Amino acid sequence: MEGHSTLLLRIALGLYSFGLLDSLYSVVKQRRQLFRPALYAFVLGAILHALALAASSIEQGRFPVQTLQQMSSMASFFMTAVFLTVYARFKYESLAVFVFPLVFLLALAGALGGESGAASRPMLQWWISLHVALFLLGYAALFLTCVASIMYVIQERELKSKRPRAFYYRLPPLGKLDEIGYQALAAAFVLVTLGLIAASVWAFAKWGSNWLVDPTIALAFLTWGISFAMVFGRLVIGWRGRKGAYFSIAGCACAALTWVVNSGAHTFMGQ
Amino acid sequence: MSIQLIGMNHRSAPVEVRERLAVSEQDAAELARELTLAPTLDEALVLSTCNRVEFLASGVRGALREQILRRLRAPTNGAGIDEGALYTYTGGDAVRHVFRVAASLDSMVVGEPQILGQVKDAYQRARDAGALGGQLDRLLSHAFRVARRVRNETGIGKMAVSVSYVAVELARKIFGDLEGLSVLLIGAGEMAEAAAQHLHGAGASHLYVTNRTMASAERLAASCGGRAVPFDRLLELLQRVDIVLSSTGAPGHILSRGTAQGVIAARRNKPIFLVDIAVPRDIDPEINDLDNMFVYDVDDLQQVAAANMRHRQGEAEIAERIVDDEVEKILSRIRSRNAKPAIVSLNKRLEAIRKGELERFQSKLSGLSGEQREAVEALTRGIINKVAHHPIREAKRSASDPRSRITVDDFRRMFGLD
Repeated sequence: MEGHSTLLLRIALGLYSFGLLDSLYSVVKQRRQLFRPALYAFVLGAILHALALAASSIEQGRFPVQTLQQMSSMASFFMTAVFLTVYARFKYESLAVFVFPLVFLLALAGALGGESGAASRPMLQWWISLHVALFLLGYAALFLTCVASIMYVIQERELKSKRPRAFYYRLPPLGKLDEIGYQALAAAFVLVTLGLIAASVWAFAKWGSNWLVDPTIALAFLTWGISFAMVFGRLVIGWRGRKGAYFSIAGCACAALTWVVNSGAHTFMGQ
Repeated sequence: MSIQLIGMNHRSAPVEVRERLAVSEQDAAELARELTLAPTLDEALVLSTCNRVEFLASGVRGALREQILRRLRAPTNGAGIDEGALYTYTGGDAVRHVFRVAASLDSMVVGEPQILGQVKDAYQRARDAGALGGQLDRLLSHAFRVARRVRNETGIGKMAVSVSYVAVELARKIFGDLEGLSVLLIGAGEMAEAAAQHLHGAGASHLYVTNRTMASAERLAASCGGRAVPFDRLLELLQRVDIVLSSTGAPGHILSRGTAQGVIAARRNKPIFLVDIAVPRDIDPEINDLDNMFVYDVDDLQQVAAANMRHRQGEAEIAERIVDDEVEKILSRIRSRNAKPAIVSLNKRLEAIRKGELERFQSKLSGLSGEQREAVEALTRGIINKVAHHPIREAKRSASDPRSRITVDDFRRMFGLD
């Protein structure tokens, strides 16, 4: 079983590498001739990746988010799923330039370590696995918001400069970037909120309230706070356009920081 | 049989010369049919547009040029046309030219979409007139596929190069799709009206028209299907609409930066696209510095049109590579199509010679036994096969190899197969 999931993940990784190739080619050559084959490889990769995750789920009896490797793998799968969903709707190839490499790198991180770490630590309860999975999916959506915001800033500058250069022709319209960014943000907010609720309920039941002082937990709440502020700013105050995009990018950077600091188990878990 | 083309375009001849050769669509098909009446020409097509007059034919090499020059020199044509204004292409070059024309790479405005329709019309009419046979038919069908490929794989026709369309393109870049957007027309100006029509055609659903004099606003609104609104409601409208086309005769700005700040705040930062077509300008250009407000004046639009033009040129280079690729494809197809019948007719011819010779010696061979007769049959057949073996192999090879120096035509000529 374990062999199966590892093998499937490695094949998926191989397929994702087409995406990396496409991204590099389009940055260097300014052409998207490889996009179609890369997209098909990605769809196939995502299917195999899903099978790999299902295989490890069955094997372990819970979401495969027990180790850092597994989390990376899960995150890369979510990223692919989010991208394919958005692509199916909007058909903007330029999003892939950002998404493809990250998916590849996360899948690589997931495939490299194998399953070794799993045994060294007690398994996470499925309740807390759910918390991790929700957060990962939320991060994937947030990353998309970030990509859309970066593109927004670039395209906005092209339009304001009135001297269209390469980006003007290649990037999607502002209105669509705004729509993608906002919808992804709203989804991320809901997911992070649910993830946080899942974790809090579980932690209160287990440890009472002393876990709240854990610095990584504070960061997790900060991520939630940022995404809340982003949604609130957009909905209530009407933050959008360039400043809104800068704010989104900053928010995503904070969230990425949380991910880096927080991706291991929280410190209190060992207590 | 070779494909040949003779013609003139906007680069080779000025309009005074082109117009003397130009014919109407109907006459073009008639002329094509007439050309095919010449024993040396099998098929013909005539394309006549405001930028080019071209004759395309298949037949004996050089026959088309001869036919056309004879027509030009005919006394009915008045003073003859300078031959230097004409270009002639044969074989692969003719194929390439047809592909480039269909893909709009040879157009005055590279990438303009009309030419493909014009070629398709000329093709349809020539076909209906019975002037096309297999070869040109296949060539043109292939040309249409090439044009489609160029359109799909390059951005050659995507970006607007005329100012009123640039406004539409920019609106698309700002809003995404224009479905359901509303447009405000301030003042009356031809270009603003044209842009409003284009925007409407692209999906913008509401059009408001305002003017200092309500009567002219009403007149314009009636003519372009909009709603006239009194000028004093301008501010209120600016808070609602998405695209503004302004072309009043006002001496100064009708929208200042300060007012615009209030407008965008009232819109809660919903983006607005302000197109200022008036000279002197109606809208303070500094408004462009405000977030979510995009101001373009006439020069800006022109600048975008020029950039699009340069972009097209870049895309055209990619398109040229696609054309090269397709020329190669069709040439090797034509060659291999030509090789098969040539080989068949060579075999037939050799067999006829063999049979003829045997017949000639019939009386002298009458004394042979059945077995000896069979031996003579085998002997003669063997000689033929051995002699024909290498030429046939070469013909097949030349058919599949575009760089081969021997063509199937050479092969036919060598064995007198026509």
